Amino acid sequence: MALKTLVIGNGSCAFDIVDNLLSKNVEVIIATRDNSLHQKFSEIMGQNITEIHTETTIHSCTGAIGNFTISMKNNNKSIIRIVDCIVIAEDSFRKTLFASYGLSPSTKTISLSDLDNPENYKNIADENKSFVLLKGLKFESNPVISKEVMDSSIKLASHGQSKIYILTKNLKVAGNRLEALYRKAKKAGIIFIKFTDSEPEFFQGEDGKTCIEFTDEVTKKNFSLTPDITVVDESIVPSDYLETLAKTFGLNIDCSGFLQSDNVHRLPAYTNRKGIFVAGPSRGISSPEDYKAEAGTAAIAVLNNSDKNNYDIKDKAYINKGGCVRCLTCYRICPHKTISLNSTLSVMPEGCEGCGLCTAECPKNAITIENLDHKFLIPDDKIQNADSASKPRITAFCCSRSAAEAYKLAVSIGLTLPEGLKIVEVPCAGSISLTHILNSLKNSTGGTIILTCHEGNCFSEKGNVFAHNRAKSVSKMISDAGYKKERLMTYTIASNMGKEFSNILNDFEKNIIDLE
Amino acid sequence: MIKRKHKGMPKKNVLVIGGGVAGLAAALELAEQEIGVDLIEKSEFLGGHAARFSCKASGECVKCGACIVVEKLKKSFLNPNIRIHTGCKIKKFENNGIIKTRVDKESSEISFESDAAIIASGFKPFNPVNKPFGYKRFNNVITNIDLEEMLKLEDDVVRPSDKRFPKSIAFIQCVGSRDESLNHLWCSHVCCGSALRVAKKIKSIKPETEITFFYIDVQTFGKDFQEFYDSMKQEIRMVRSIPGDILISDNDCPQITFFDSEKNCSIDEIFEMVVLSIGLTPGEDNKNLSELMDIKLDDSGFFKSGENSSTGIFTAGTSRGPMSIEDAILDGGRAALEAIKYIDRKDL
Repeated sequence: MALKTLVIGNGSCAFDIVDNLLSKNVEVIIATRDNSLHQKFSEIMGQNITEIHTETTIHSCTGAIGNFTISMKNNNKSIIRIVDCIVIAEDSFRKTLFASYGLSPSTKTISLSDLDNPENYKNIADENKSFVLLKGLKFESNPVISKEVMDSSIKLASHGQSKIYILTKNLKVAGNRLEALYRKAKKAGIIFIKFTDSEPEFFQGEDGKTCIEFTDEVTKKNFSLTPDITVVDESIVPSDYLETLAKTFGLNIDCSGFLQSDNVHRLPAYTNRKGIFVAGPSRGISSPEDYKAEAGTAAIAVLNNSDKNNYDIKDKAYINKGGCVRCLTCYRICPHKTISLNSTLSVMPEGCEGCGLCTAECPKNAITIENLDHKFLIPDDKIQNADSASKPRITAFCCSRSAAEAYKLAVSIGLTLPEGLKIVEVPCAGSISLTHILNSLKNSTGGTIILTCHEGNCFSEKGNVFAHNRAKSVSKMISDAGYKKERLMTYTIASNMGKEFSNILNDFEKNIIDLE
Repeated sequence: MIKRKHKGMPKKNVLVIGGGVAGLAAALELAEQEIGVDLIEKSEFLGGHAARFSCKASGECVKCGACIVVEKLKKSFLNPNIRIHTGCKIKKFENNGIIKTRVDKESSEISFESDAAIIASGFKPFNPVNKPFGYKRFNNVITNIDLEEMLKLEDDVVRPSDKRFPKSIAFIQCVGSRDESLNHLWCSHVCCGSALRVAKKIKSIKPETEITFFYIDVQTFGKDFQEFYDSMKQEIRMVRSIPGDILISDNDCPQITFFDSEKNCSIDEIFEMVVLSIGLTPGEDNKNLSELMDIKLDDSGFFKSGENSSTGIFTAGTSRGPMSIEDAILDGGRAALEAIKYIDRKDL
């Protein structure tokens, strides 16, 4: 049966995704708030497997990968569809920055989009002689805006204009061929004035013209420019629709509101929810030149991550109906939004990443992961010798994505590790419960160490934070009971840091020996 | 643990040249589509330059992406559709619809037949020996890659001359990038992020370290750049000037001469250690591969992109120009999909 995917968006990135998916015989449903589709889509209209819903918003989404039930609204008409995957590629918005410079838009003080608008361009270029383009003077800019400012300036210069100034703080050239573009602009006679710590001052006259005064940082001389046209740069912000989509789908957002949390494990096109992907202008600031890569990667992510049956049930969380009291703790904390809320609570195994946050946090101990319990009970003794009479026995709880990899690296390059080290590899440090920590302290002659991913690097978003908080509370408990709190320590580490792992463990062992 | 449906031997095969980030990303996506991948790598190890990079977190992840490489490596070793060939050098390459490649591995020869090929041969770090910064002549002038390796392998920052934590460090940006005299008319994209993230890590290890950052323009990186940059401006000294040269002073301390725009004159200042942020330059095999495979290079010497879909040879990652780990992963995915689409079209 063909894979069915909902694509939300109506720009060129969304188009490229749809085009890619259709070429792999994926059945595509397009949903957009706009009243008509971008003209690019006309190329693929003929292909009858595409279902298009304009003026349509997403109302709700239940289920998991392979079986999402989407309820959409089109002029109060309700549309229900079941899809395997969802891709979000809504175009970003532009925000003008007039206010940040204390300016108001006028015929003489215009935005970058106004200048680039083909309808206005000829008149503006014909009727005016001098131009100042402002870029990144109040906020750090980006290569996308940088390219547009330089392209527009070069276009004006080739139109015969000779007085063109670009006023910038850090000139952003970390984009495809932008340094070469910068050189080209300078050759075309465009004057770049760079600011570091100082800023120009802006005054706007009655006629709408902007006067710019500044001290040149190199010559220390004062200058005043009153160009015919002042072009104010813009910032790139997420579509206002993303906030609604984030709520509807239970997706995490970054500090600017784009639909992918600032977490390297989400790269390139993933979200916190299995089967929901995000691309291009919904994922962050990206240039239209990058949309091909964004769309290609999102499409292949759909193709490669839609096999809903490709899992072992023993790795997934299971809620024991008898123990559950419907406190909704699991529903609240599940980072992958895969707890289904019906008459009884249940885990949708297709969407479960097996992180075990719910198993450790459930106040009734009503959630289990079969393979996880097994791991806790029988730590892997094969790699490192477990008991040594002279050395303290150390239990190290290691997150499988970071610390356990760092441990393997340390072993592979032959670094020294404590003799009495016992590694307990867990899918995520968030699965380490109070009981696990207390049991480990009870059974270890030496100490217990919990090694998690660095903050902001947890595949389950906050599993490491849960682990640290839990250890902190145990630490207080044991020190209140007169037990040395140095026997329980927590650290953060990355998968590629073998030497650091060895240093942390050896220091820990030394401190434990010193205690005795 | 994962139940993999057994689908038999892959029917289609793709050659991936280069086992760095982009090559691994492409290989993994292809393999998931049940396409056989011959991943050839000239060095003995996979992971490329990124495998040498250190984690730059100080408790909090700074999103450099270096740890992601470990995950990609692990997955590619585990994937039965990926056949890894390290220590290989391409001898012969023929493309008559079916791509025939012959490589030398140690003393033997291996041949592959592939339906498409992806060039992900990476970049060459700029060699700064001919710049007037005393690299290889002065012990305490190192590159950012040397520093990354030191952090990763030693879990420490020390001066090579006396193995002591330096009290003052200068980072010099754009060494071999944005340099008209070398005809390097490109920004290397990643050095500002790398240097500032390492600087933050050093400040967190030893807050009293005095760090100076010499730069032309600070490039945007990461999702929270504004906040990161504002906080770094408080922690380190930023000097918008690229030094003229470096001499050696007492105690193996490099002495930097630079133009101070505030004082409007040239200044000599002594640092305990200098880190050169070296740029990304075209891979040393680009010219050879370009001739062998008949794929054009641009005027900078990187591979041109998006022009080869008709021949079944695609380019990805830093072989096309400087890019970050994140961008190389994306680009590998794109190239993989293009190769898949090409194979599908050819089948019709």
